[in-house]
Amino acid sequence: MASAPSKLYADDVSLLMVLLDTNPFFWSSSSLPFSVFLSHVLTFLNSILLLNQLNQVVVIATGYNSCSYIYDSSTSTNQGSDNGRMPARCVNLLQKLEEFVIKDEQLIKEGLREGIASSLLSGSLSMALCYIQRVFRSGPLHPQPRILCLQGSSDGSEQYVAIMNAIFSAQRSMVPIDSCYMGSSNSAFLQQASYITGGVYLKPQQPNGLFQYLSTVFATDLHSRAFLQLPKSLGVDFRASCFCHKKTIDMGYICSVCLSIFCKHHKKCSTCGSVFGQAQSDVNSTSNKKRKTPET
Amino acid sequence: MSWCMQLVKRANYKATVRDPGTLGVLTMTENKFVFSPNVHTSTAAKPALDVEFKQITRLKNTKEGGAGPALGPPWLRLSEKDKTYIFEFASFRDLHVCREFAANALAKRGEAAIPTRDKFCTAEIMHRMKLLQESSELHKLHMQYVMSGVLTEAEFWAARDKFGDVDSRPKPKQRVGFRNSMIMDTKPMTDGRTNTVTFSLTAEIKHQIFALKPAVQQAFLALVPHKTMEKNFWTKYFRAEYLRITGNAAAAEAEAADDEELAMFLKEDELLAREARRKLRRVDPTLDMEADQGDDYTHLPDHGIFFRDEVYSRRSTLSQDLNRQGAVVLQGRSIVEVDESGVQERFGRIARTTEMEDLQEPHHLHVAQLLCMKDPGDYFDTQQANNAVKTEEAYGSLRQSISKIKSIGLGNSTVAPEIALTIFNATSF
Repeated sequence: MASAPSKLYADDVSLLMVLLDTNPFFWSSSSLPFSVFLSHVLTFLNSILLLNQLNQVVVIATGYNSCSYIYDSSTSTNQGSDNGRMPARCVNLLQKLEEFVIKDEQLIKEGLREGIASSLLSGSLSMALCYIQRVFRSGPLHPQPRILCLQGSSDGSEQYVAIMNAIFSAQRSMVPIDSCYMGSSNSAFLQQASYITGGVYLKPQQPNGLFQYLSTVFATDLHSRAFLQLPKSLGVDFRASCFCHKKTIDMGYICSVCLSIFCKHHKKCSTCGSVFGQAQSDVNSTSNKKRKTPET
Repeated sequence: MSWCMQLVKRANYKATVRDPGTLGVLTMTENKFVFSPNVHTSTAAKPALDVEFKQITRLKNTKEGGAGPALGPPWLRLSEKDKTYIFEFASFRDLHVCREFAANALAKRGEAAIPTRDKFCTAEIMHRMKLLQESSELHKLHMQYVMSGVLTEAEFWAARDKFGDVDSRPKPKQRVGFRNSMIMDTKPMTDGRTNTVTFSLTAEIKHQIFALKPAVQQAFLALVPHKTMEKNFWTKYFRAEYLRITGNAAAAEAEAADDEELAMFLKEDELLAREARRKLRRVDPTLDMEADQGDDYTHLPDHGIFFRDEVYSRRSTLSQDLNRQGAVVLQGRSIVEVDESGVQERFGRIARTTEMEDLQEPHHLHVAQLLCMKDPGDYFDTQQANNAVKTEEAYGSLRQSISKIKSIGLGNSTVAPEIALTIFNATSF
């Protein structure tokens, strides 16, 4: 990525990081075929690039076993096999996507991740944030970055800590995370991500009109957003997952030192190592001394 | 109250008690009484009397039955400030009529209330005083009518009695209720040395167990005199309870297999279950209790995924026990038999509360199929079902999709115009 100093980055220039869910288990059961989804997304990406010639789009595939950059508008040349049916950049993107899917499938054959059908959202979020950090550090002039999660598979509660860390990192760098969730129920992770970072969470009621949703809600740059009334989240599922078993819980135990969440009482915080349940005076006494432990 | 304008009676008028008296006719009107001697004399000592009732301050008469023949004929004494008129009558009937008339006249005249019925026993007076003290409303009425002279004391109380004075009747003895403590779980005592546990059982506890668990009562009635000793019965009952408390399911099953009487205690109380079902049927049919129950999965493991039958066969929870205890303590009665006519009545209520015909359930179903979330987990983790799809198939279809779009390219219209318009209208405010 070469950010030429000659470019004049106005406040309406966007860097759009698109996280594309390529979970095969979701798409094989989805009412919206993946090909249709792709056609909507590709059209949307084209229109983003047409909105401002300085706009930049980066696509990261959120796979089942891995994540990968599959498209970067700043590096890909528009040269290629433009077969008349679609722009060259789309052909390149699809080519990279196909390669990614094949690689992702090979990974599943090596080590089978049993039981969970969620995609590696935490990985792709981290990659997007890394890319944004690189852009931030490239110089004082850069496009306004935002992340758009096009997610379909359900939340992987085992990724809770990693995703929350990514969300807070995005919040710190003032990067809004927009999310468009295609699954059947709402995604608590994406709701929280958009809520915390000031992005927009959207669950399209009519998936076959996805492009319309994308262009109406997510196409505008951050500067113009201030003048728009974008859909507001009606409710956010703020439930946390415990750090020990990665289960979504309503009530739990919180480490008083590092605020780690546990579903059961632990003698020691697995995150920061603080020892629980001993009064100040008992510190010197033997550790196996009987003490009050809340029943779990 | 009989009120005639004039009353004429033969009487013997005496100025004092010792006076031999003058025979004559006593005429009472609303305002005054007039006594005319039979023998008209011109002596000033025995003039004809003409006294207005408003001058009379007191009214006294002999008590019926209380006075023997030795005391002479019944008399009525009307007292002024400094003068007394005594009339002796031939019979008590005459006396009563005159007394009543005089009392009415006095009351009418706004004189001070005079206790006309001295025959009240002390207990009755005490009772009336108590009533007046207890009820401020009654006291007010008493003040209003009796004190102001509209009614006599007797009339007042007579009217009150006529209105069905429940208070005056002796109250039914209050039924002794149950102690409001959980006796569902009678706690055993151990002597600490042996493994024996002792349940102490009083007649009251037995009674309460019967009230709380009708099935136990039935079993007791069926078994105890002929088949088994009472002590044996209770031993088995508490053995079953003990197994239940300790939560030793395996031991309970083993014991139940050996002993059918014990098994009877361990299984669900059928009478209570029937009662519960009857109550369920009385619930407003539009209220979906099962869905609520299904929604409340958070406290259950596995997101509350359970099977319908398990819910019913589950041992009664603490809250159910508490409810049962509360009901028994409040009612103190035995369980009413299941009312099958309730089913029909329920259909009627459904028809009334559900306006649209579609929403009414088919009548041939005997037990209503409640709308319910069969498995809340379905809604919670819908996508988990995707696991069933084979990995190769899933990846294969994904690659197929990519190749497909590669081959056909981007179409002219990604979104149908009408859908686009709907969405545009929905997303723009």
